[in-house]
Amino acid sequence: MFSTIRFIVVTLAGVFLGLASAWWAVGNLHFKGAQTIGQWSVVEDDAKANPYEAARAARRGGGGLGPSEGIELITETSADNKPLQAACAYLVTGPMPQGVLWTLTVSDRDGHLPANPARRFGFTSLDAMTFGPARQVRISIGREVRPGDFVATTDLSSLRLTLRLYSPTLAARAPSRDQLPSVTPLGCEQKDAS
Amino acid sequence: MIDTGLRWLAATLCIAGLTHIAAVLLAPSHSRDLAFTGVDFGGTDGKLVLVDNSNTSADLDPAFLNAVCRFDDETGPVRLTGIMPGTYWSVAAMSEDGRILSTLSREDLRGADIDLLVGRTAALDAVRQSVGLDSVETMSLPVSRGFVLLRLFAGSLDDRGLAEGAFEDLQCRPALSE
Repeated sequence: MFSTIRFIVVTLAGVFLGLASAWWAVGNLHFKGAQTIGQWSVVEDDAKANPYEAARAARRGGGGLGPSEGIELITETSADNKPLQAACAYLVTGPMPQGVLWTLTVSDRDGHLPANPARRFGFTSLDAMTFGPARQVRISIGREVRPGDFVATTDLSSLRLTLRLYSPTLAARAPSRDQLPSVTPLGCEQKDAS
Repeated sequence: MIDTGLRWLAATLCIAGLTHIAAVLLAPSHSRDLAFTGVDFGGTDGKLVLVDNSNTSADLDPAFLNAVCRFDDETGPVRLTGIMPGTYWSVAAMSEDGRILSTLSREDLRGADIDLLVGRTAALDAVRQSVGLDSVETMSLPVSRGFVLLRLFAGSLDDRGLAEGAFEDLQCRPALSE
């Protein structure tokens, strides 16, 4: 009787441990096969070289961009290489590739969009304010409203930024690190960020 | 006692390892099935179905109006027709499991009108011969079942109005029914 219970407990614990570690690994481990540009990772819809990348693509649910549409970049870390936290505020600042339609979307790691009355989920090349001759963007993200371009992340439990560049040229030749903005932390809510 | 404990610990880790490997390897063939297969295509009468985060798990750009239509063995190749807005738009053909198979953007089709046949290569040849659609652009696919995803840029209120107007006029019908 005791050994039967122990067998069941060991099996359940093993399955739980296996599923939990798989979930964590797919969400957090990035292997050298994945193409990165600075802090941005190129989303490969047909990532088959690595099972973790394939599972990560599957978890996003498909619907990524094809080669004649453009490229999709995501980041879940800030410029100081720390995971983005929903309780913290960030500034997306720097250049964007010129002459292409781009969209920047704020979501959680599962792709859920923030619920805000303005239905503001991000910015695009047509509505973002740009500064200087390099037309740099300055978009802040967080729970407390900030001046300028701002996206509220009030009800998100995690944070992911998706930058989509609609240009077949860029799909063939990805932009360089200095053509993309960086994500720098502005501060965290003390009680949630710990 | 310690030996027994270590044996059970080893068994737990073995089960965990096998579960981990199975979960990672099976994820692509299972979770992506949910991308569009849950969308209700009933009673669409040739219209595309709007998809957003309320009816699909696919990670779509919220700055776009996204719409899908389905093709399978029953419908055969489908013909997508409509007048498109001047803003950015693109068409993607996807397999049932959500993989992108082929894409075309506004620049590829060079025009404001869209008239596109989408389906398996052999079936497209049959449609061209039987219906006489030699001059229509085609999207030849290696599968006979899947989805056509249309993305129309709708970043501002004006763009959304244009995209919604274009969406109303779009038709996606079985090519052989014409």
